[in-house]
Amino acid sequence: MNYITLKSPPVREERLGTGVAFGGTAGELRCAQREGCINRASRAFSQTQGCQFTLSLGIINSLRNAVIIMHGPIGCGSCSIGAVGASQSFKRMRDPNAEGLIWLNTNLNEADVIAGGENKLKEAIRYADKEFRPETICVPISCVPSLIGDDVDAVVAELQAETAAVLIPIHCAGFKTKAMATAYDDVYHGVLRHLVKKPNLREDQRTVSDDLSDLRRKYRDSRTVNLLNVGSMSRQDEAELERLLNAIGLNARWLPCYSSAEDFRYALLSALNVSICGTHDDYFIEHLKVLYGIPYVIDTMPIGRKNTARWLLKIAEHFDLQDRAQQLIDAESRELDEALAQFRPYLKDKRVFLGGGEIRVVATAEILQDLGMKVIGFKGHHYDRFAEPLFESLEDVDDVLFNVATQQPFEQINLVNRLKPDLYIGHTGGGNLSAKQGLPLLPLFGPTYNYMGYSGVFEVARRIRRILANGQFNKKIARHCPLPYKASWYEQDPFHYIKEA
Amino acid sequence: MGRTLDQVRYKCALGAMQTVQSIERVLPILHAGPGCSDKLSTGNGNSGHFAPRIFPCTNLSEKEIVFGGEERLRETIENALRVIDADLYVVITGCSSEIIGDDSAEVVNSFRLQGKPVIHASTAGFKGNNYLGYEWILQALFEQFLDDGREYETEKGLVNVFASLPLHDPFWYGNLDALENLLADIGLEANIIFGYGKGLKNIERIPRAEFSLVVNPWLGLESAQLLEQKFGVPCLHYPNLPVGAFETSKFLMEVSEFAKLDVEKTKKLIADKESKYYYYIERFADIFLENRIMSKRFTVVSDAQYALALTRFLVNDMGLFPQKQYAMEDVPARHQSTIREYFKDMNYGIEAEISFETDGHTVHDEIEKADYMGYPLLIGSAWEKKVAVETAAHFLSISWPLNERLVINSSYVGYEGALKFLEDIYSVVLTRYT
Repeated sequence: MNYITLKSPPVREERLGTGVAFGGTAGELRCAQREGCINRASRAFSQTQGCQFTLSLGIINSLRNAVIIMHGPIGCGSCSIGAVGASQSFKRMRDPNAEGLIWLNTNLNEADVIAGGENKLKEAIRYADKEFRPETICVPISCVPSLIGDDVDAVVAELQAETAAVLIPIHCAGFKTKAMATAYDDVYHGVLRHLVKKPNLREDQRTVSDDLSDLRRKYRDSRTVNLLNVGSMSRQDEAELERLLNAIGLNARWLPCYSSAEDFRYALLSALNVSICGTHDDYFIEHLKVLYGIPYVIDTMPIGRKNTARWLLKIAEHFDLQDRAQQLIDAESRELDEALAQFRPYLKDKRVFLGGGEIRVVATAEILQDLGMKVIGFKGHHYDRFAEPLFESLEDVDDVLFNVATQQPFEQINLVNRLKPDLYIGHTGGGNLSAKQGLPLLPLFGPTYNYMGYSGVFEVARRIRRILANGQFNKKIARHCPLPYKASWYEQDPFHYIKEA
Repeated sequence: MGRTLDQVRYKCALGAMQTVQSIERVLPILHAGPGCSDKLSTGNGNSGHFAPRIFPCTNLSEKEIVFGGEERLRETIENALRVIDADLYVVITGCSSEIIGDDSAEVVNSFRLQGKPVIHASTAGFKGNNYLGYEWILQALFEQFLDDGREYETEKGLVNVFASLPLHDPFWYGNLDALENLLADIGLEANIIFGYGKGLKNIERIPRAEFSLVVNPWLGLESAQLLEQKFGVPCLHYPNLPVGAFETSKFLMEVSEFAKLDVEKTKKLIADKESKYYYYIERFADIFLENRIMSKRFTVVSDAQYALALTRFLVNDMGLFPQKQYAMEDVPARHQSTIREYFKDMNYGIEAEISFETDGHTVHDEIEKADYMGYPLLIGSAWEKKVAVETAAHFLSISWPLNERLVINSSYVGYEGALKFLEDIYSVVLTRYT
């Protein structure tokens, strides 16, 4: 795979055969994926979802010393308002002096739709470079400039000579794909083409280096892995994964969220790239292998003890550290068993529906089975081969229902109404709808909570125990606030509106 | 204005989906790209009955961009009518569907001809912001839902009320509520279409109203004037959202006179209200008079509505002096000179300078350079927090984006509202002692 000479990456429907509409069992879904036919369906009715523009912001809004220029009408990027506080506090966990999120909007209007928005973008880039002196300026390109034919790459090529900041166009027009995870490819594409380059070590050294410190550095790098974090992770998750790696003698560098420009350069010195979520990273690490010869591991997501062990062993294997890793896994697992004992009686046989990113829902299901709970339904934003390894940690899920849908709560509400779970674990933004079905609710992720590694299993168990112990708020809201669907919809097949594309 | 903006105070016209959302049982259907709603659904208290994830959307993709999206829209409306239970469906269009030239109005008309409750408003993001989008939604309701040749009889004492931008202004609900109560006090019935228990039945009463009352320096005025043209409902434009005793009493008198009510009765009511208001002020007068840290000069960075309302209150009731004020919602040029005059109409000939700047960064530079003769009092949005820290200001966040406060149904309007405003300001001021 090498798409790096293209202006923008291919969409995932084409590159990975990603599907966004499916209703059936997990077994049927995996079979359809293997046969390569899950990307052939769409919907005759749909509700609002996200687009690759909004999802791109998940990474680029987190970059340190960066200014974001939303190239589009004034509404594009408006959602960043909610990220202002979190972006600042999470950046400051890395660098106490970090600036908060700065973003501008080129504010395209009717005249620009006719005349083109390139001049406005040039003005905005010059202004951002002069006024804020950032290391990088990211330009996510929305639908309007894509439709009217703005050549943003040409603008960037022209201005790069006069700006101090590195300019990164992100081709993420929402209409181009319904598999919004293509956003990650868009961001990495821009990063790979404009930001990633070998660090100039000689320039960085203040004194003449000696052979010994050179060797020390090389040894340290040979024992360092790049961990590719995702926007839904917390600092606690990072600390837990780092703890496990340190315990087997490895160091971690974190990319891309909350990184600064130089982090992307030094990352090229590491010995291995490690994916945490296959949906995020394959485009980036495959290209790093092709372009810079860095090997990678992309397999499972370290949520749940089996997945964590598998993740850790895959990394250890690369460094021939399996024995140390296995010892650590055994010790952690024993400790976890002791810690979980207090929760098991409360959680046994409780029935759970999970909705959200397909990697994350299947991974989280492992924790539930570990606790003796029953997984009775999945909903994933999309589906492709990267969810496959996660099924290996689960038992008896072939007949469990799997709905592939980016948001589309009407399908899920219908499904949940039939399945009647005891608990719903879901992606952010849909909580208010599931609560109206009276269900206790655990957020599928939260950037201030720990879900990953061994401590993550304990934290999830502890939180489910608490949530199940007092579900009154949700019961009451369900009693007073009905959902807005027609009664006839609940009689209908939940997958009625899925059709051949 | 079409220049690059930093720390902006509004969304694009498609943000008017929130105007639709705030009318009970009226559902927006978006003919737009897949992420548009996600980008625009920030606000306060919008996980309502029709939460943004409920809105049907055509989620335009490459296929529709190339071949046209009208069929996709038709299919989406048809199935929305089957799946979601609403009284009225409002199709609103985003940039991509308008650039490719879909005739959404025609698709919607075909449903209306079948007697389906569907109307259409053009709200492409490049055409304007969500303040203008609000007017376009109102106009679509008046033209497509009400203007069907029916005759309407006037209901004595019924008043259409338009004030703050729903779901965008954090206090929109409380403001309408407070205005409704003030009107009830002088014997008028407010006809409001936004919020709890209103909805279509109130929209249907709009042409029957004795008059429309627009309580905003400019927003809603042109829509109300359309009602005058179409249904002969006269319009009383009261530019100032009344906050505090002085302004509220003035408001009640002017409305009473316009509605030809018994002015003596209103005067009696005002005397009672002011007496109670000053009972509270008297009890807390030592705080207002004798603390030495309250600001002398203030700046409001908000929309024209609050810039005017809070400036008038702080000057006319509290005796403060205005520094420069900012109305940041991209006030249409045709309204600006009139609004400037409103800021010159204060007691003792005190005047305030009003700026229609839309770029937050520019405004903050000006605030940093201004001399407030002590701690500034800065009333704005989450964007002002940083400049407030830098200038050691007393800072109160009241406008979108509002990130650090929860506002459910409170308001600064009227006699009671002003007391709430004072509570909020002094709850910040008094933290200097702790």
